[in-house]
Amino acid sequence: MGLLELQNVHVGFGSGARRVEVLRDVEFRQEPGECVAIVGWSGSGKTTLLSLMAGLVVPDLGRVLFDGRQVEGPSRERGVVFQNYSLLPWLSVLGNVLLAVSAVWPKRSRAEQEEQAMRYLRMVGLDAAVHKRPSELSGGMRQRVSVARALSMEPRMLLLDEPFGALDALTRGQLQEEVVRIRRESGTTICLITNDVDEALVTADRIIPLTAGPNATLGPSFAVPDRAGRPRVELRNATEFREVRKQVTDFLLGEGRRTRTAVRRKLVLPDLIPEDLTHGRPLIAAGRKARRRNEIKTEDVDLAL
Amino acid sequence: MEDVKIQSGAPEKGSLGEAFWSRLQALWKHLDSLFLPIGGLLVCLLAWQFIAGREVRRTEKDDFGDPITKVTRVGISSDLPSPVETWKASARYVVEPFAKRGELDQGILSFTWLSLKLVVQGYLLALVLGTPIGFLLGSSEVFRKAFDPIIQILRPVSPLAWLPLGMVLFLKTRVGIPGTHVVYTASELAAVFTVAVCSMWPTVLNTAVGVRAVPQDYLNVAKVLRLSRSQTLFKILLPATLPYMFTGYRLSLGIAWLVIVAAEMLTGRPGVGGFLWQQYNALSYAHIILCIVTIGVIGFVLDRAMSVVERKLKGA
Repeated sequence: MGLLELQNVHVGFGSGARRVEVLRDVEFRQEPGECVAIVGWSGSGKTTLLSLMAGLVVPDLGRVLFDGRQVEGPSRERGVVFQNYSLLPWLSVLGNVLLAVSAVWPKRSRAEQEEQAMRYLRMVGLDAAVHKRPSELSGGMRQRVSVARALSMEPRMLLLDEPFGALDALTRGQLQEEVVRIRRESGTTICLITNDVDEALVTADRIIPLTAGPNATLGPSFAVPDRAGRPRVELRNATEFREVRKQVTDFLLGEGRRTRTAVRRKLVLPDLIPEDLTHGRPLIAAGRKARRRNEIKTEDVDLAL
Repeated sequence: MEDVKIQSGAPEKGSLGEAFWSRLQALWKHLDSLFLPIGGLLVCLLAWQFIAGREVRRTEKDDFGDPITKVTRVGISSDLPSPVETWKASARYVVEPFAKRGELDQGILSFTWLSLKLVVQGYLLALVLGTPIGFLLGSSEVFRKAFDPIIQILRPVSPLAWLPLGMVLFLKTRVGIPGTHVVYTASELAAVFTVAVCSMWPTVLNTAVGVRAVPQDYLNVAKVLRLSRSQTLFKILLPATLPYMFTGYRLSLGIAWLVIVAAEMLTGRPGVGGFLWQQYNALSYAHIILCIVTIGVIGFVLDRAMSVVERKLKGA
């Protein structure tokens, strides 16, 4: 039995004719201690998938199981790191982490809570900046705080939603290594959602591609070869890694590719009132606006990619 | 920064004139925020002087042949006192700001203090009522649907319309605070009521907007951290809404100060507005201008003070 399981999960938004299926028939299973990366197109429902795992979204159909029990809402057993840091700007770094610690262990003394928070801030290398506010930190440091906050609740599983998407390439590489190190130190199960196949290759044990939405679903699982102590630069060029990258990319470009995109555009029908020369022309005649409602028509244009 | 230093600190030989000009320009840059407002004020005073009337004294012989002086006023608006006349008539009230010669003949700061006392009471009442209403309006869809139309209709009602209702409401009420000699009369209560009702709306609406504008991310954090309802309110919603709330508080204070003048005019209570109305009825027009200036200055000071508090809180 896996630690986290998604069985036949469907999620959609809206109802009736306007309903959009975001995720269709998602089957997922993660063993304890594993690090799984889910790679997909942007807008394909990755965040919805993670919200499902976190318990922020309830599936319309199917079941989400954590440790064999049905997930009914967020829980401290699954720590979440959001894409945009989601730190509270009015609290200091320590305050942000303390909020999580005091929510989990309200009965502990303040000193114990602070010690717990500091332990995880040290783990992400932020013990020098604990009294700063998030606005005084760089993007990379903010995301470290967010990771420390999630870890401080001592979750059994860490859910990362495109955690390094907004960071520059160098900081991103650094933080990817941190994730690998933290995982080695704490042994937490990690599910990482990303749009970067290379990021998945350097951090995860398995890569699962998510097809393009709407109606996205998970593809087959690709195992990542053993990295054991090899530096990042070497990984990039090693043949077996290139092979996995090619397989994942091919899947995303082939089967998981978005087949068509519809663009809705608004048209203003030509004016049928004859031009009245006695009134003279307006000085600025460009871009006529619709005067009556029936002059506006919309049409859908399909763009093949 | 460095460029400026080179220019002003080490002028080349023969360019002393240039150095002088650049210094003058730098000085002007520092002082224009002082000189320009003074210039603006002078322009306004000149315009006032131009419109205002002046006294013309003529000596005539009356029917009996005795010389008499006739004083007439001429000018675009002949009854409007000029700046100098205004100052001469008002000096007594400004030089002795806390004098009390009678109920409606006090120093101008003494009047201001009387008005401020009522404003503060009404304003605090507005905050205490308005903030929770705003929170409910912003967070509960049911509450919003039920009460938003009423609020939108009551919001534009003028203080002049609320005051008579307040008088009716408190007509037979005399509220005394036990243990003290403080007693609220009907007109006081009506004034406080009017200030509260009129100044509440910016607080209500801004708080509601603030609650609705709390980013979903913060709410997700609250959910993921499993914060309780009260924890979510005090640790997430309240701090996230605070900047909006304070914008509301600042606007409310401005309105409260506007309303008190109207309320005092109608009730004839001593205060800046009451004094203004009394002096109008007494044909003492210079004092009207004194009151207008005082009301403006106090309103400005209140707004500044509030924005300082606001900035402190936002920075914190």
